[in-house]
Amino acid sequence: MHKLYPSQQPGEKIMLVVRESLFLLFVKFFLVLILIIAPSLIKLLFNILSIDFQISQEWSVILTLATQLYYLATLLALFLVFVLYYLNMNVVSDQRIVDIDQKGLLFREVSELNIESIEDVTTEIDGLFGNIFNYGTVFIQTAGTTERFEFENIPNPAKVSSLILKLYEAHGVQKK
Amino acid sequence: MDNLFVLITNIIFAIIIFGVGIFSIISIYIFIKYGRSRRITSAISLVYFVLFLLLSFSSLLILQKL
Repeated sequence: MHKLYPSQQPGEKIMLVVRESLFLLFVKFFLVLILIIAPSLIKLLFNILSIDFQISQEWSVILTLATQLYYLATLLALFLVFVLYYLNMNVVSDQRIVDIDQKGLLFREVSELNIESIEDVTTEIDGLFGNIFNYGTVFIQTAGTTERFEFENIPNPAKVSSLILKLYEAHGVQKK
Repeated sequence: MDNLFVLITNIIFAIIIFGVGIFSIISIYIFIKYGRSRRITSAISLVYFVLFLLLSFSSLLILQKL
């Protein structure tokens, strides 16, 4: 079995795997797509305005090459946007909560928290789009001075926090 | 066109393609290593890599016209 995080136990039941809201992914894709179509739009604009640059054959080849490399870079950007979206995830299992942050290509941070050490769970939905598309942040406060956990911009934050609280209660009942 | 100019242009474009290529390989490696499903990550990486190769080879073909 492929482990989602290093300390995953064989009998551990994964209750939820949640990533950033799809709306935010589409916004990022849209921005990269604008960059992809920008050269064609500029060319079209020059044609409409009848602007014709007199450049030599060699410079025309270099311009084509530069455009090709630009497409290569935007393709890489598109791929990276998806990779970072896919690798950034939050996992809720019946025993722990795991926050996997892929902050950069070579910077990965995995934080784990036992269900029993939860102090409180806060949900925050911010902004117009957050309210329309129902995405927000869930903060999980732990006992002691440990930094609070953040599930950033996840869809249905209220449902996620209610699941975490249910698991906490179930865990408490099991211990008694 | 001046030979030196062609040589410099070739070197600059080769370095850029090489850089993007190395970056792409690192991203594919990280993606497949940490991805949840090997099948999905490999399929997406393959599509990306084919597109990358197509663009790189067409760049090299254009470079030959210089």
